[in-house]
Amino acid sequence: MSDTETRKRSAPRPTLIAAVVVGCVVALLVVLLATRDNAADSASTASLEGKRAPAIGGDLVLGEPFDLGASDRWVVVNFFATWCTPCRVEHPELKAFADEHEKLGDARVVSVVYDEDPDLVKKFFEENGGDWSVFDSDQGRTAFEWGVTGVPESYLVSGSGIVVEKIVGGVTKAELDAMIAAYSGAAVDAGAGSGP
Amino acid sequence: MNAALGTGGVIIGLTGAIGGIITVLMGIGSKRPHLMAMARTYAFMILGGGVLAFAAMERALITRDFSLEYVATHGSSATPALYNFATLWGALEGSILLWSLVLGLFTVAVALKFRDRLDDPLVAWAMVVMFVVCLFFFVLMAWPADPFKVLSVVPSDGPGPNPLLQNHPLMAFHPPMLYLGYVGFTVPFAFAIAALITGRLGEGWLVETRRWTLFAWTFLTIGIILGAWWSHEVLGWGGYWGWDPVENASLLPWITGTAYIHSVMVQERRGMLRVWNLSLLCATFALTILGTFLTRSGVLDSVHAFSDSSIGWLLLSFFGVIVAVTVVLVGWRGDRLRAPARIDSPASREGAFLLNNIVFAAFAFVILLGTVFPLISEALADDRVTVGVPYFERMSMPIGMVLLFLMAVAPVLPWRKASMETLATRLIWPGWVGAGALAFAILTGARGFAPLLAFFLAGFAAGAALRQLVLATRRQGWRGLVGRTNGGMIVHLGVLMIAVALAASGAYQIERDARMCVEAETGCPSTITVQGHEITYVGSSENVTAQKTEIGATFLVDGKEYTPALQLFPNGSQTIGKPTVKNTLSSSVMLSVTDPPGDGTVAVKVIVQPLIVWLWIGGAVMAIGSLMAAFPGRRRRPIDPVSAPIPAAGPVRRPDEDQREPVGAST
Amino acid sequence: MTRGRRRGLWIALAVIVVGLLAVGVLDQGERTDAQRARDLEEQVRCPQCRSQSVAQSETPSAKGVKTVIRDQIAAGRSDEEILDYIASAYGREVLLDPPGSGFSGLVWALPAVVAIVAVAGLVVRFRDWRPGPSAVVSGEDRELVAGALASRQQGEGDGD
Repeated sequence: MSDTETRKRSAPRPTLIAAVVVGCVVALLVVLLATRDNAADSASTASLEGKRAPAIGGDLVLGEPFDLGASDRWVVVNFFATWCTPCRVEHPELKAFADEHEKLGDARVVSVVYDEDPDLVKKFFEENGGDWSVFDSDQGRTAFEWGVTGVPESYLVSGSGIVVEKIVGGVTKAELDAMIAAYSGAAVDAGAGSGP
Repeated sequence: MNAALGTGGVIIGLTGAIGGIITVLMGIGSKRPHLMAMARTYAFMILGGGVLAFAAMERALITRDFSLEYVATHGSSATPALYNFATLWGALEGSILLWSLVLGLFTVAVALKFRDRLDDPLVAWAMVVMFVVCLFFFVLMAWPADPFKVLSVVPSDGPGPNPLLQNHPLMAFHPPMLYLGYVGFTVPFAFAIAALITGRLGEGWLVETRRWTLFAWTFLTIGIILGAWWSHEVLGWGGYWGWDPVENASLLPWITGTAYIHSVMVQERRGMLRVWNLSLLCATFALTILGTFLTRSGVLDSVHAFSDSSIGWLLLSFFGVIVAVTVVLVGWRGDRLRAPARIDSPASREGAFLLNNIVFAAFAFVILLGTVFPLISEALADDRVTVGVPYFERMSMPIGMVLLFLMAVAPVLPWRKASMETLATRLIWPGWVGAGALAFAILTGARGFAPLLAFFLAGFAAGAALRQLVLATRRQGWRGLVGRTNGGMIVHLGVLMIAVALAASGAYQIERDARMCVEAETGCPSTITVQGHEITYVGSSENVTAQKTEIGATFLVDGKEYTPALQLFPNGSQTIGKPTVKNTLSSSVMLSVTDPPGDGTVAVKVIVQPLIVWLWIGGAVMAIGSLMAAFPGRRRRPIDPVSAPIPAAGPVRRPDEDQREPVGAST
Repeated sequence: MTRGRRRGLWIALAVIVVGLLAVGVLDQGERTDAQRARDLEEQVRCPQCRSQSVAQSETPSAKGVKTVIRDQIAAGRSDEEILDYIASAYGREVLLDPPGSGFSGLVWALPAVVAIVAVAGLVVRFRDWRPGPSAVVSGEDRELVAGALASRQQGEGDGD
């Protein structure tokens, strides 16, 4: 950056000029650095939101076979693993959500295993309840297609198969209900939802 | 108690720094020597404060005083003694504490070294600069990064340091080395600023600070190498340098420092490049602060970063002040410092040093640009990009090749001017050494343009370095191994070992993932062979201590037992791999367990890399070489001839062969 | 060493080095799929990490990317296609090499510009640096030097 300093002999005060140039460049750098946010806060630029949901390709571990976008219900696609504590914490919430909306018939939950032996997942569901469809991780392919970077991560997918919301971290039933209510209200404009 | 002691230490240090600045400045202003001489007292006061704070924190860690927030968040009762001791520099507040202590040591060292000259305005100003830097770090400790914060509710235990920081002893040594390096550059910086302020830019201050710079540079080198070694031993992917912002932050001052060590010789010999050298010293120091900012403020993503950003703006402001002061002083004084001398020919030692400096400056520019570019891009173009390893490798490879070539040519160049004939004669044998290295590499199966070119150039440069050492020892005996030029050649040999190891391990790494069983069955062998190394799975074991649970898998590598493991720390949810490395001079075999072993089977990653140990050996050689270079040879007397020999001057032997050696006398 | 012999040695050296380098470049085997996969893995950041590449990481998201890279190679995609595909899932920022076009092209162009400017500046300056008239050493000078050298102590320090 300051390598111009020793050169340019012909100008009257070359060092002064070089010093001013270096000073300005560094000042710009300082201003730039001072106005940056913390890097950890920034999210990925590739968002699925508003796009068609990718297929879920893994083998079925539990529940019935299921095709995204082929139903008229909201779908919560949940990526999880039993080794992840927040996933275990959110499980009862998902269960409550699934039970209620099963009765209402307007939404359902689908889980995708994230980097884990499916047998452990079966055991977990036996112990903790929950009777929705669970798919295997397909060696990470499904999570890749959805752009999952960690678990738990959930996606709210409309009946027509469009991803409307990505939720990083654990979900609560109330949160999901509120989202569905909001999107169902705006469904006519967005052309995405097809709630009851 | 500990908190009170520590806070007391911080206050003492703070007072010492403020008192020192005021007193010495008054002394300079009123030309009263006794005031300036008081710098020594204040220096001891700062060191005392630093020692007290350090001791208090260590005491708190050792006695597990969880009433201190720092101990409660980073210590634990289960941490073994060494790592517990090292926890002091394992997190932000503690690392500032260590920094202040080292800074105190350097301040006292300067005050003692120059005790007879403290009333000299140059030294007095240097002391003021040292005090200002001390003040900054003690202010950090007094307020935004207070290590002695007390918790109102005292927990019974803490989570312990980051698991990655407590599974290899190297982690206890790498940061202190790095800090000795970083902080060491404060001394030449202080003298550079003092020289600019007083306008005394003669060579005097340079000679005074040369060894300080070399000292700082040596420790920075050791720190960087230890960091790379730690990464290689602990992270388990066979890498040692990831071009991570934190690593780049340590490399930047190293590069400018290296450039300085070379170009300063031009100034001493020929009186040229004064402004440039001053700027390099100031840039080196400013880059240590910028690096600290980048790694401590969380603006850049990094595996090493401490995410606390409360001190970020202070570090950035300090960096801004340093640059502003330097720029103003250089702009004010710079044009009066012009050296009368000129470089006679590009084909001369000074020409080579100049080129070396330009290459190093370009190197530093590329690394700085790559490191901060994601921020620039996001701010100016709203475009999020990552600048990662491939970029840095692609950019640094040609730079490295040019540097290797310069290392081959520069040592044989005489000062002032070389004829082609001289060059052709002196370089022919180094050239053949390079060809020999190349032929050997081809015979052992090495292929690919870049690594082979690197081997040739490294052999070439090694030939040039050895030539110098052989000629010097032939003439001077063991003294031919010490002193700047000869010590420097030993450092070059170390660098060349590292260059060869970098090229080979990067290009010829073999990696294999395997599932292995104790009892071989189809698809699950019990013995595999990777690159001629036979690896047999023996069985697994579990070892539970209060600190951690370790699940090990034992292998025989060429008949010798190694147990890589997975470690579970009670507080952390993550599993940390603990790889093992079998080192021989020609290759290293790294084993890391990728899945917990069970039922007589295990998933293992085997990485075989050639010549890895030469990275660490090369680092050691560099350290030894710089010791040799700092070895107190006799100073050049003003009347010693500095350039071409005068034939009629009689039989006086000049030790520096480059000045003496008659053209064409290689036989 | 005579001039002729030295020239011969240099020519032989050049021939041997160029020949050996040619052998080293031409005699390389085909790049295997595994090597290709490895090279690609080194160019993609592990999505859940901060700066490690997929090759260096055993995290679940890195494993997923590795699987996909192998799938794509098996499907016969080119390196660029594979990288674009990964970028479509995780965003351009997971590619460790900044793109050469647009604003981020600057990160490639600026060092080149700086290098060219630096070398040009150096060349210009070296042109200015004509060697001054070589000093004529008079007998008086020689006496002065001899006197100075004789007056100082014998026994030598090292060269610096």
